[in-house]
Amino acid sequence: MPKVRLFLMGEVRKKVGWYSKEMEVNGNTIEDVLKEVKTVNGDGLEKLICCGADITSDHWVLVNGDEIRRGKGLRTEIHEGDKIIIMPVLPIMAGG
Amino acid sequence: METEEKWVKSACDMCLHHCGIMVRVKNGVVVEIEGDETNADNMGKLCPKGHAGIMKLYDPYRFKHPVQRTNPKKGLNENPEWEKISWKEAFDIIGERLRKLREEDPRKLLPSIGDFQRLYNWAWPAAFGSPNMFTTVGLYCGGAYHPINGITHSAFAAINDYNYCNYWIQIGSGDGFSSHLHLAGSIKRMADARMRGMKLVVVEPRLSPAAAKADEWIPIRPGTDRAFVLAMAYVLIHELGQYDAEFLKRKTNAPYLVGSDGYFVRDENSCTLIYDPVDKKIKPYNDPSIKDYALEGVYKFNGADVKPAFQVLKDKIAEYTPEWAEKITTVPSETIRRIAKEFVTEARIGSTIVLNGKQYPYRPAAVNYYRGAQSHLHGTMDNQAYKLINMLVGNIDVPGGHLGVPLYHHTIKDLVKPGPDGCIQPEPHQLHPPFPFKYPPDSTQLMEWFPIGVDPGHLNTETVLNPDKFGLNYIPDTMFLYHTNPLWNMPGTDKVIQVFQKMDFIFALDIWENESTKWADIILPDHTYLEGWTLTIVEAPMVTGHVLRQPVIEPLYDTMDATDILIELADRGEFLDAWNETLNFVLGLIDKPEYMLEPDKKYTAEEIFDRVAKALYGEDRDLEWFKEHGNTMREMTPEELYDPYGDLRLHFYMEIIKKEGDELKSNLEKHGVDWWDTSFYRPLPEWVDSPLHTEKDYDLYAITYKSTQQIFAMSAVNPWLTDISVKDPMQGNIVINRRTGERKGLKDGDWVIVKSLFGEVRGRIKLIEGIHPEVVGFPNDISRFLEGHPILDRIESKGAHYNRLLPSSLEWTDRASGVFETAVRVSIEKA
Amino acid sequence: MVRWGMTIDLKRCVGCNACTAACKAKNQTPPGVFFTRVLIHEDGEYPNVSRIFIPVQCNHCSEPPCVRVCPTGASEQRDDGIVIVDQTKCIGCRACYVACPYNNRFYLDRNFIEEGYFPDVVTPPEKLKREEFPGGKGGVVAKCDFCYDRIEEGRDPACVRTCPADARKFGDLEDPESEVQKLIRQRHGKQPIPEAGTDPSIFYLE
Repeated sequence: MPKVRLFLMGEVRKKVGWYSKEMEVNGNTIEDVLKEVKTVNGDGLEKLICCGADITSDHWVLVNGDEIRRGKGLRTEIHEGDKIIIMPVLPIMAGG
Repeated sequence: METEEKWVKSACDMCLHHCGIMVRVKNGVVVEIEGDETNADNMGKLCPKGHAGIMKLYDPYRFKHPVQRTNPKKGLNENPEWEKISWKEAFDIIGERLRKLREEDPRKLLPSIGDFQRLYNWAWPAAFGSPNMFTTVGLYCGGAYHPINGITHSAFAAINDYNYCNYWIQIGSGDGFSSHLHLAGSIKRMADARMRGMKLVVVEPRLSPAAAKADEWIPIRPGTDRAFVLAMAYVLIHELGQYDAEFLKRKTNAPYLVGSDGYFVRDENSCTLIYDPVDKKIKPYNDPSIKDYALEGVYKFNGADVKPAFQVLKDKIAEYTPEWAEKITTVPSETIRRIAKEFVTEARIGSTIVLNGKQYPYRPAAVNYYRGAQSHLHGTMDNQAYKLINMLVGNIDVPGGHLGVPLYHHTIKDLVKPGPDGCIQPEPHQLHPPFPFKYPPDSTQLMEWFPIGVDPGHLNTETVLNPDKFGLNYIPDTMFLYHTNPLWNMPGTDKVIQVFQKMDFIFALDIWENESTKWADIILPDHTYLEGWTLTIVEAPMVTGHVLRQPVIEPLYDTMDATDILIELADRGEFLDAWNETLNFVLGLIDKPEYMLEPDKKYTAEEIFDRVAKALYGEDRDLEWFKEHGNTMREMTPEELYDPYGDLRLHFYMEIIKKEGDELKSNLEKHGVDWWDTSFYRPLPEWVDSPLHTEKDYDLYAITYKSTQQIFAMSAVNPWLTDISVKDPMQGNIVINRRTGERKGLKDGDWVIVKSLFGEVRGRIKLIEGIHPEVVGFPNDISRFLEGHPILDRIESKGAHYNRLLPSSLEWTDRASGVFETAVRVSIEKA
Repeated sequence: MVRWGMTIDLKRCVGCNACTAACKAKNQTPPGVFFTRVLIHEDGEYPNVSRIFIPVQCNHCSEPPCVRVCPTGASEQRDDGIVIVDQTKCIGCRACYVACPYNNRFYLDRNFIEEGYFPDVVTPPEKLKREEFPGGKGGVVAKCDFCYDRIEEGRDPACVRTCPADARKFGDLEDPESEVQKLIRQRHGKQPIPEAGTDPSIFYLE
């Protein structure tokens, strides 16, 4: 049960209703994280930002700054202390 | 009268970098700016622009309060007839527009942002919901430079090692002389290196300040530098057989076996393979039994021929003899041979150096390059070639060699991550995460179709003017100009004008009226840098840390800090929450959640930078500490600078580029886009014909450059700098080689017309010796065409507006990096 | 006795004009007037062509012809070797201007006090400097004064302090151990136009 810090930005935050939380994840992949985050209408976040086995082209999921498409996608592993950001695809500058 | 006097530490903002400054304020008047000697970056030095900041502050033609245009007609020659309005009125009008846009389609906002020192503010449109960018990162600097630095070093920029390099080849760059990274400190470092005997070879079409100071100037035909470097690689590999084989074998993917399809071959575990010549066996690259790696040869794998990546390169460059390159570059073959020999000899392959008790490879020869060498149609391959020649001598991020320069305060060690196949993670996207492919695209710069590119803002002239061609299902109607001037600094001026004409509403955040801001409906006047706040670091070579920009006097006029303006606009546009969470991300506050901005609270710039300072340096280095001390800049230690990769290998063979290109092609074809050329995506650089060189109707090449006193931008209206520029015979004129000019019947002072396929300009000619005979040079210090500006109007000859000669089209854009061709073929005749 | 002097290293200099701008800020000179500036000289024929950058300014000669010809004693040589113009005594005859073999004296227009770089406006720093201007009027000659006020504050002249290439060094020519004297010896420093017989205090290093 790794504990990670999650940040939800823009439209994602609005649909879920909170911005940042530390949470223990029941599982060890991004997919597990998404299942645990519920949108305001009770769905898992994967309903909002996934399309089959992929993230939709409208969203980014960053694990410690790395976009998961370059890793193993939804099967990207998470570890204790990871910083996970879920946000819409927009030209936000790289973090300072 | 008693004199009240103080010195205030701050950060210069006369270019995008941020030398530390000390500002002397006498009775409330800024009387002097000096370099801050406590700042390890500029070491008390300043360039001419830094001193002239006084005239920016006291420029009476600044916008002194918000204004609204009363002339409904917009155009280059239309006077906006500004009328003073209050900040409240300005915010009300723009706020309403933003709310309406957000409701309709936030993508309709077309932002054009050029405030590099406050890079975090570039993310404001993203918080609003617009994916668009209408700025020319490709022309300013490195459309292709940044992605290839990111793949090679996990870095944003790069520089040769000022401390230990002994043989410095500089191609199309002003580093250490007249432009690019942190100029004042770089001039000092370069001068010290030259004085200790470092040899400098400058390859450039004109006798630039760097070329003038070089031990050897090698004039070259524009846009052919890659051929020069590929021929150097030929000499090293095919003629001399001298290169850093140990480095290539153990620290790069050069030994990985490549199949005929251009991809690495893999075993059943998807592992890349090498050939062990001792055991005469193909093995996984990480097999502990490997005794040696073959760099050359052809081997059989699953019945097919496979070759080490190095052999692929060797075959690819087999025709690139110095004689071949001479025809392309005009550089004599014996010169290329000699330079290649000197370079590899001076690299001292195999040698080591001990620094702070640690042993490093010592490779004191390196190739440095910048805009002129790579802002071309095949800019991606240009960059790949320059990295490749450095890799061949094993000099990447070792003492004396070619060093990555991160965008912010991090070291390369902080940034390097394990990637595929035992290599570093390639990081082509240095500014924002990669956009996933999408059809139709959302962004008007087509970022979804540039999987390794930097936002090619000039392509707005394609998409906004021909949306159907790209499947774009909306057209922006609102432009936001923020410290930028696309009508002057983008190519294809007539098309840029048409983009402006499509806009229904334009608001601008700037200090002055310029060619572009005069089209605005509302102006939001920014403070100058001497009146505002930021805590900054942007691509500083050899050093790390932060510098504080703080107000040195009370604002002179009814202006506001741009950061505060954007916060207020976010509030009015009802997206303050999104902007705060974006700032948390961009400013790195998410790493220290206790300093994060709360989504719905309105902060001031000053409050935000207090949090940033504490998040970076701890409670005791808050804003108060920075106000007194100014900076935390320091030299990087050898441990921070050198050998940052551990056991990870470098991308000698950039399979990632080929893979991204092939994926893009297949994605586009799925949507019927079969006309998008992906031949720009190649794992290794090679020579391909560019229409720049096959053009028959125009006999000359045109190039552009600036002098030191006007580097970057935003100073052509500074009267001191302009006064210095007009004394320089290279400025205010178009220059041409004396014999070429005479052959065309031209003499000094003649007015001429220069024509390209894409436009024509008129200017005064100056005949000089220090330029390649096929080249027309456009010094770009004062070539502004804004009329009615008292400082510009009194200049008799401003040169000519170079960008009018350039194309702004997909055809002239590197479809991998997004950079566009910045040289152009021209003809010249007496006006 | 101290004799202030300067070395200018032409190998280090990259012609960036930081000195020119620093001098501009220090002296708030009017448009077109540069107490120090950088000459650019192109030599040879393509491709064997060179371009050299030569910063120039008043040489503070120890045998200054400008002082000799000045009818009012406005141009004078201080004990530390610095040649200055006392504008309260200057009548603007420009004899010194003609006598200077280096062309480094400047005539300030009669109305320069009321004029700045921007038309119709004298900016606050320009105004402040104009108010300090000796004699309070134009129609006089002015030039580099080696920033003697800065020297008295223990600071190098503005051009020396800022030079990014460290091309300029300032010090006491009478002191054989000073950095400038060492550089002159080691690098065979040359005074400009020695045949003029003025014994300049500026030495160029090549």
